[in-house]
Amino acid sequence: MSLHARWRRVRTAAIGAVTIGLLAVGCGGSSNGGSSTDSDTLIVYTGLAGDWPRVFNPYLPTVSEGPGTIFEPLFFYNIARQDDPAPRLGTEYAWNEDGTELSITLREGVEWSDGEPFTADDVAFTLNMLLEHEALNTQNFQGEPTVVDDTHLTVSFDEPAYMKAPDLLGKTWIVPEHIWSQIEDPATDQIQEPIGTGPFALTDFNPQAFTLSANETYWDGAPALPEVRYVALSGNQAGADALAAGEIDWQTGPVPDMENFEQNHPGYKSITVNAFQMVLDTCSNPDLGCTGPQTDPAVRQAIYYAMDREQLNALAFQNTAAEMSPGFALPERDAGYLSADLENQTVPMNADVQQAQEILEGAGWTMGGDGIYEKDGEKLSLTVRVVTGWTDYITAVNTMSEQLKEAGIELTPQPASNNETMDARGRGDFQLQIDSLYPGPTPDPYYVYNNFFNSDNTVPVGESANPNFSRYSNPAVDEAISELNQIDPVDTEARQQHYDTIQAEIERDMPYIPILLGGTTSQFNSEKFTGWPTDVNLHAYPAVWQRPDQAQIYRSLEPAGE
Amino acid sequence: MTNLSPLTGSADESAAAAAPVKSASAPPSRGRSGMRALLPSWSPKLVIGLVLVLGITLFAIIGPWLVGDPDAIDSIGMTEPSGEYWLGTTQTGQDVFAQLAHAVRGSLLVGLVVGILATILSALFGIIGGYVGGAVDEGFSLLSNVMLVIPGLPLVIVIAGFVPPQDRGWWTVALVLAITGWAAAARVLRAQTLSLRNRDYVAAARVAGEKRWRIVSVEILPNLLPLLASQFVFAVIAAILAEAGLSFLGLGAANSHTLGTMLYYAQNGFALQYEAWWWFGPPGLMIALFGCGLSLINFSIDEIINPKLRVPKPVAAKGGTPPPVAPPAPVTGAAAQAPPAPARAADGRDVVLSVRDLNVIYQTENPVHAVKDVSITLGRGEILGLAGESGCGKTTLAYAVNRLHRPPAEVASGSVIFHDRDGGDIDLLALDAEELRQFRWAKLSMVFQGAMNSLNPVISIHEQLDDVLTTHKPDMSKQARRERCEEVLRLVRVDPTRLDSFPHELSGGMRQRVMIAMAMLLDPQVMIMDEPTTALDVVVQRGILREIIRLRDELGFAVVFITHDLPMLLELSDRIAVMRAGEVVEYAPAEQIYERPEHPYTRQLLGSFPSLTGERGAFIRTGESSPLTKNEGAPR
Amino acid sequence: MRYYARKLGFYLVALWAALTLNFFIPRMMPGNPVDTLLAKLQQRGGSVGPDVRESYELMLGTDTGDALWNQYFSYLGNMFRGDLGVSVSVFPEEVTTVISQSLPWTIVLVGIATFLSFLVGVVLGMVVGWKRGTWLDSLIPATTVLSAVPYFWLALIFVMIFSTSLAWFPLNGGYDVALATGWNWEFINSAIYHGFLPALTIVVSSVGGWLLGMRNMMVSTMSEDYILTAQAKGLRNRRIMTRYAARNAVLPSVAGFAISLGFVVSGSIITEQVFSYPGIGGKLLQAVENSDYALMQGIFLIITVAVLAANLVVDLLYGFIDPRTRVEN
Repeated sequence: MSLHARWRRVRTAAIGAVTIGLLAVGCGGSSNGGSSTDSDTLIVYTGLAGDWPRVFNPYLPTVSEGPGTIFEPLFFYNIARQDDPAPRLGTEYAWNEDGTELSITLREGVEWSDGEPFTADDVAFTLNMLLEHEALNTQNFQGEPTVVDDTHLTVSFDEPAYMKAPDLLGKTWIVPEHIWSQIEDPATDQIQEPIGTGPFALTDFNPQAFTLSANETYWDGAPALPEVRYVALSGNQAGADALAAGEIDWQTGPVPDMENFEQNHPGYKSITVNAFQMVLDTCSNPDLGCTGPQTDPAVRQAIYYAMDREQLNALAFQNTAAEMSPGFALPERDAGYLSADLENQTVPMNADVQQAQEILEGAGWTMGGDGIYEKDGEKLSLTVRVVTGWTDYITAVNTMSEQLKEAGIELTPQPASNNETMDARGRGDFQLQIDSLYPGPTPDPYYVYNNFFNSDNTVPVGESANPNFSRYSNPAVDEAISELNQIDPVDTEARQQHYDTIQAEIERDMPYIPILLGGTTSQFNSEKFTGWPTDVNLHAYPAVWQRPDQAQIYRSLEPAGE
Repeated sequence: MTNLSPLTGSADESAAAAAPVKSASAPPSRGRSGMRALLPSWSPKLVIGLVLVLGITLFAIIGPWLVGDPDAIDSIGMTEPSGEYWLGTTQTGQDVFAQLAHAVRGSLLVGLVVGILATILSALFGIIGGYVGGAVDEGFSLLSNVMLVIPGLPLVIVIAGFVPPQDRGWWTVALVLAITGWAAAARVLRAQTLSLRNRDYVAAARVAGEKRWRIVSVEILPNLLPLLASQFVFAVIAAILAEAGLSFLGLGAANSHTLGTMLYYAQNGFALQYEAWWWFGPPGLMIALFGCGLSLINFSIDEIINPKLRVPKPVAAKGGTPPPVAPPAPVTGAAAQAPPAPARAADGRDVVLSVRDLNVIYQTENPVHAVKDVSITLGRGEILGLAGESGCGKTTLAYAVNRLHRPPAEVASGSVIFHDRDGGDIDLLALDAEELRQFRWAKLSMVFQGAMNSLNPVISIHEQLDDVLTTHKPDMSKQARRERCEEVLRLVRVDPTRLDSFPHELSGGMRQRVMIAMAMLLDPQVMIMDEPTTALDVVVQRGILREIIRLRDELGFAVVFITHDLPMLLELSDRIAVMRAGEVVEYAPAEQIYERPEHPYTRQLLGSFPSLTGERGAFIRTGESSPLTKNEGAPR
Repeated sequence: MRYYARKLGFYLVALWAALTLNFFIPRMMPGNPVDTLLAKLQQRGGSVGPDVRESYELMLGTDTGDALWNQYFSYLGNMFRGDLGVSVSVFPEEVTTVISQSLPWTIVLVGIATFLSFLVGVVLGMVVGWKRGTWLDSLIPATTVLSAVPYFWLALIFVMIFSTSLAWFPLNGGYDVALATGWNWEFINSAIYHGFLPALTIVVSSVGGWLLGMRNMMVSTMSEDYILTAQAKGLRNRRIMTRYAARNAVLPSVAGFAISLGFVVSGSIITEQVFSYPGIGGKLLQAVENSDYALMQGIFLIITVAVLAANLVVDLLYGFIDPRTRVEN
């Protein structure tokens, strides 16, 4: 072939390509902006970066969707307020006298989306699967399920298991025995075609978006919301842009100019809930290998008083954060649990430099020539780890370091990648680290205490701890937590004394230095759909990534119609 | 990720593109003058580039001293530019201008460090590998190939992981960019070194027993300096862009101020969504301006590497579009000694070409009068010899006849008339571009010196012959064209099967025969042959000369034969014009020149060449005899 | 033949060296997949109790306890068998699935964009070089400025102008998600529509390099004797420009183009990030952010093979575009 001919062909191809491109503009211009969608499809973005994997196994951490929507728990626990568990697949449950046996009554007439009936055998199968596959047993379920009849079963435990109930009843996704018993290893199966009892079923999947459609045979009747589409975007910026363009109906993530959101986005509303307690993790326990000034409780106390939370809230968090309590119970939701003995019911919102300095001087720190305290030749200089990408945290620690300078404490931010920072947190390779303590499965501060303050959940520096990163170890707290394990949550009076103990101890020791209650902000299209949670009716935690709360909200939504 | 910015790749491309140019066709590097060649000539581009680069550099050096704390936080954020904050504030009330000053400093440091490191690394591996050769070269090539494919993205994190967090900063990023960025440049340098080490002066140094490091540093390095400078500039741009890219992905030096981190924070702080142009715009513009400045400087460096890239300064008001259409100048004055332009030449032949009082001037800053008042007549079927030493203007004359001369050469005055076989005179200097194109080759064809370079190396002989026919005789059928091509090859005794060969597959003699064949394709009336045999050995030379005479006898075209070899002309020509310093000093029949040379210069020339009969004489090429010798190789 | 064997051997050694580095580099990165995963779950409301860590360690099989050398050899074996393992970040999807899903998008988008920018750059470079000294010369600094602009900056500004303000193009994504994926005109049309702006940014920011390279080569080529011969032959200018000058001048650009095709796979991370494009670049970022060694290695393998293959192709096939190099081999 002559080169000439070859070139001619290349030229033709190029002209072709350009023509196609122009055509695309022409044709594309006539269709609408992003995606052609039905007016009653709810389009959500969970804030996750990247495409969707086809993983619908609710027990895998990488699950795209399923818990609550496709697979149901027995009960729904609302962590947004103090509600009683709402029935889903279960209708009632009861403990025996000493909390070692749980009797569960199941709903009748429930069907799997493939038409098979749902029975107690499915529940028992699911629980046994957890026992069998340690990799799936993230709640450390150790009971023994016994099927009584099709709608009744009991679960027995060796020791009182009151506090296990929320995970067992609220976070165990019941799977169909007739399908899952055929699966070779449920810990490595993607479950590409999920079959559940939930209000929605997977109907369409591609990596950039998948669609859940209303389950016509749902036991509560098909939800009014016909379809939910989950789209894939590259992160917060893309999410905010898509929201501004009206391409998504619900996302949980930051948006610019939060205060004027509703003016800027007509038809949309925004809601903020506060459940995550922002703290500075401190590697506090010298016995487990921590070093540095922060091992001195006085230093932690001084930092606590020296920060100006009002300024932090304004600069770093767009005023979405709220007051928190040094007792680590949420001031509003958990008001009933807050100890009267706390020195401060809530954190001071403004800097109290004098108080901070008094505490330091009382502990033997002296002001150095450069305006920074020192003790035994050691400067009161701390590093604080922060993840590079998290701009709100970075702004917060930068602001904090200016604030603490006033009180004679030097704070140096240490940004690093998410991987490195989280790895360091686990291994205790930090002095301070900005972090947030996540809420438990029910609105009960017990879970925060057990997770983060129980010495059972920590290890020496160098090994990976989860989740007591501060390596706090206090026999009084440990004792109180184990007492709480034995007491039925209904008996609030008997429990409160232990809460009082814990709160007093941790306010004094302050292994986690409270900052503020972080706000989780969601934006949703209130013109297209009605039934959204409001500040006065938080019927579920309004975050699109919160499972199974998202399903609770989908069930309550209705297309507004045109 | 290895190639974060699209510029990185293309930068290397253009560097790579420049390299073979130099080796192939740049004028011979004068061994030790590399340093002097580094001094660029002043052009507007260079001035603008320098102003941009120096201005921004100055801002980076001084700026941070003059502005406030870039991290200082203020509760009132996102304010537009004002007297207090020249570029407004960020979301957290930080002064954008102050940040910009620090960020420019950070980015320039990254660029500088990467530029230096990558240049040193590429020089080390490229030059040494290329010079030493053998296993070392193989090893280095392997290394640079591997480095090319190493993913830089995770390497940033890995290297950062080995540095304690408090010591991390822009320099860790710079280190990674340098490590992953030198390989492409090394490959270019290696190729260049390979070509340099075979140059005569390097070979001479080797023979003289100079030490290796001395040869590399004294003979080779200075010649590579312009290339290295260009690579440095590109490395700097590429590094600044790559750092910005990494930072954008959140993998940059988060705790230092660079333009990349600044953009990253602007992007994460929703600067675009807030329409805070004062926050998002300046860092990007700063990078663009700095990159633009460096590119402009790089143009000047490129022009040093490759002088052909220089745009000739339009001293006269002529444009640079080839081919230039020089308006015919009116003939002024009468030629003094030249024979009048008769309809018949002295020996009674018909005249086919008459040149009268032709003047060609190179319009450079010091104009050179390359052809002075030359008058020549060429009879039909005559072989006219044009003799003279190199640079005497004979080639310029030949090109001017066909108006092939390029700027800055200009025909100042005179006339060139072609007397067509079919009747009618053609004033060559008056033809418009299209008429000239049609005239060329159809009536007057040329054979250039150095046939290797006169043939297009990448297309076959057949295509090059065929080209002439398709252009000038569009009516010919494909079959007829092929036959004609074979016919002319047979005329010059080249096997027609060689038609599908490429030029490099033919011997030098054969190439010249192909050129002559090509010149005969359209049966022209005049053929100008410019040193057609110079590069050939004596035996081949003889063969070709015999061929020319035979073909002239058969086909009857006239020949202007240009050479410095006067004895050869004596055998070949009917008449001979001897040129010196642009003037025809003697113009007479061959026998007359041989027997009674009048001009002393002619006598000198006659004595200076070993004639074809083997007599030896003294060479005349002392250089002082002609002021034009200095202009050897002047643009045609 | 020996020449080819040598070349091939050389590339095999380079491949091995790159594979080895690709094995060790991810393992030297700070962080581990389990803690990263836990942190991710915690931030999005997962109640990550004390026992979760152990479960996930078991599930992801990250701590096999094998010696590094054993891991290395089984890694090499797996690579040659094409078994790239299971991705941790989208557990339990196979790395091959993840890659085969995203690679075509990148190859098509960046491939076409690279080709277009090469074509436009070379053609413009040819004309600018040919008409040297005219106003066209001002194209050079103009395109160079575009090349010096940070790529993502330009992309974001394009998005702001053409997507957010004018709404001519979609904000993000690779196709209209409401359409069924497949080879139907509607879907392909939406893919072209979505790919237009990303492609435009790539072309705009890379065309300057090609233009400059071609223009410079063009200028040097134009002083070659064969151009003069062509002029003397009375050929038309257009023909001289294309068949004689450009045909020779384009050679280094073609070599550069082949090499840049090798970088198509890796050169698009930022594009894909800005436009939420479903390509391989986003996957690499995801792998890096989640300490997903298997996925990283898989993508590195693709990049390595692509770049080495492009180099090999240039080495071996250069003869087809430049006949001079044919005999030397």
